[in-house]
Amino acid sequence: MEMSEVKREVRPQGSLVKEATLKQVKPCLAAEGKIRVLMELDSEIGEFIPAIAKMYPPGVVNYVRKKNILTLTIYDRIISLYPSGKISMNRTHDVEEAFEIAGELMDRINRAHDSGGGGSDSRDMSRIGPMDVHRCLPGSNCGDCGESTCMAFAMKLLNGEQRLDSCLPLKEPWMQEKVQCLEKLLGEDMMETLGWSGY
Amino acid sequence: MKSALVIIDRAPYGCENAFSGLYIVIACLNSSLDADVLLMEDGVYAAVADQVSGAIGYPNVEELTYLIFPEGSVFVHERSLKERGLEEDDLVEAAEVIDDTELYEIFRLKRDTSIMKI
Repeated sequence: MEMSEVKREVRPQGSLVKEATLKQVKPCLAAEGKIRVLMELDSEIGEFIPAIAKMYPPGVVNYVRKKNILTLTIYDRIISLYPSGKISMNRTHDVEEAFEIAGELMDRINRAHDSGGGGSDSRDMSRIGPMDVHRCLPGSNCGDCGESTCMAFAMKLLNGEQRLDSCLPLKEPWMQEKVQCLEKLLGEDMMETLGWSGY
Repeated sequence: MKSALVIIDRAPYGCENAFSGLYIVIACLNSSLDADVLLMEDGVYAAVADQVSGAIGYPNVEELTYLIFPEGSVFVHERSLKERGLEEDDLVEAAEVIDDTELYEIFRLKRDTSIMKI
């Protein structure tokens, strides 16, 4: 599937990246009807990649420090971000979806840029494990989230397979202490990333 | 066969070997078969960054390497690279430079791998 490049102003108001160019599209035979794409942003992003890595649940992040390449397993596909501003992703439905996902990544990149590269909250998520999260959960093993135990929920949460909002007891007013525990552990940005929309 | 390793030792654009080799690796990955590419001798030119292929009307080989990583590796033989006056900094970000010892280890560990020299 050869095609000419497609350039779009995806985030005109972006502080760092505004445009994305679709450079390559190849069919993805393993997933029928899906494509593998290479895109390029209008700015280098190497300085911000470590901060972007911290914006995702640790289970979906593979950060190659030596080469400063970030690979994310999100949206049911593998996405790689390179310092040059190139982005590759597989198992993509079509070009429109590729630009849509690129736009969401660009939002994160611009947010990292706005906060100076360190992120508004620079805690290292790789040091936070399921036991740490479990201590801040209700511990009732109620099963409302669909998991049999709070520990299973904590593990899936860090793998990006569960959302904090799915823990219904956390929404109760008397659970504020637990929510504060999570806020202290994860920070507000990561809480939002992990699917916390508030009470 | 559990995986595939495609060896490319000819420069891109003068012949189709590099295109074909990289396409094979991408096709293997698309079929959920582990696959890597090893660039040796003049094949290392396929991993040089900032290739401008449009002027000669060929598709860009450099961009294909980004469709291989991270599911597959783009190995570049260090000695071949240096013999051509190139450094790691001259290569695409997805490239992984390997010395002779690492090359030996790759061959040793890939016993169930089908190795194809294009």
